[in-house]
Amino acid sequence: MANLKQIRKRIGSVKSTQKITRAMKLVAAARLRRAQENITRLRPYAVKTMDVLSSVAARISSEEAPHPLLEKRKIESVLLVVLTSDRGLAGAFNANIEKMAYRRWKELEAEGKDVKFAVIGRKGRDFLQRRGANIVREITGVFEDPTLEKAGEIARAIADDYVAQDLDACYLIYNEFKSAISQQVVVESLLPIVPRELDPEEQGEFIYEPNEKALLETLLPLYLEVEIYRAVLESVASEHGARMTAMDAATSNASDMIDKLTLEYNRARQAAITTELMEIIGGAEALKG
Amino acid sequence: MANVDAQLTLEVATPTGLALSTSVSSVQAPSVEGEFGVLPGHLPLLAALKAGVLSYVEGGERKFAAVGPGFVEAGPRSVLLLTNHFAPKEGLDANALRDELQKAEEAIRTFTGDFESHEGKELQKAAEWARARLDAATAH
Repeated sequence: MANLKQIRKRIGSVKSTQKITRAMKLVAAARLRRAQENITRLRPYAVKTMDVLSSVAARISSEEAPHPLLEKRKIESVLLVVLTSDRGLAGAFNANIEKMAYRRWKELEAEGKDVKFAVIGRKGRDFLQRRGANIVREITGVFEDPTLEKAGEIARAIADDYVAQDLDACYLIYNEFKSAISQQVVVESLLPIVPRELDPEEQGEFIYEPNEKALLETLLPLYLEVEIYRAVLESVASEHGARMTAMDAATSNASDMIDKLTLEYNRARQAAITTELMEIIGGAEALKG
Repeated sequence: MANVDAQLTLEVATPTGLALSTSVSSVQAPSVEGEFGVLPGHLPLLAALKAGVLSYVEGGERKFAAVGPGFVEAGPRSVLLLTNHFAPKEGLDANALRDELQKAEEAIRTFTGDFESHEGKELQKAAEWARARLDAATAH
């Protein structure tokens, strides 16, 4: 009867695993809703910041020396900002980013560039550390409660390095939120900042107060801050989406497994009863003898 | 003077959403170079904001709100504020803010580091934001 007992135990453990995956799915779904709201709320602010920045930058770029964050240099040193999650069990969420980061890294290295990493999220850090990447900055624990202030700290550090010419270009690699069931890995250029081209009618003749240059001084760091914040929010929403999908699949796999095991259990039980009956009948027949 | 029926759309965008979107007949905002007013038909203007009191006339009634540092884009028919903070006068408690401002100023007095450093600037910002809200709470 050992077999019957084993199957029963197996069913029990699959059931408790299923309880966990179902709970994780529900938690992810709830967090996803909040994360999605955060992105929608930030969007008008982010778009407008870029608009205002572009309108000021368009005016100033033709005149004198632009701001150091707008300056294009020969690219020797590149910083890749890689956003992964702190936690696992989110399907291919982290693996996709890691693959992309690794490919970019090797491509840039092949072009003879010095590649540095800033990692946001534990999973990506572990991955890159194992492969001996040059990690100059690591940030974990942002995703619990992402704020503009935390993004600002990261943005300031990167901007300082850029102005000090420690890096000549900076890219963000993160999961962009498409929908609850789909995320897309994007590589976005962060520095040097390239203002959007404006239609002549959009541009208009503005009165600037105090003046274009002073406005740029505050606008550019703000833009970096907002961009990084947006990437973090996109990544958070993607993470929850990916986890929800992965846990949904795991829950339904567990159901399938329970069904299969139950069938097996019933078969084994029936076989045991049949054997027992056969033995009794066999015994009775022998006695008749 | 613009015609009396003309209205301005006033929008305040913050990182946590569109905090305000309404139709007003005039707006006063605190720029880094001093308070300025916008009436319908204003020339295009782009100005840096400092923390202070925003006031606007909505349906004939003057309203106040505290805004943080940011930018304002004004045009003939619309005013857009980009700021990290926005707090309408309703919901601000002057007494609590007085305490907060006092604490913030105390923190600045006892601060020994460099005021150009990040921490120093943060302290100043906190005090300015407290003062802006206190001013908004007591404005009339």
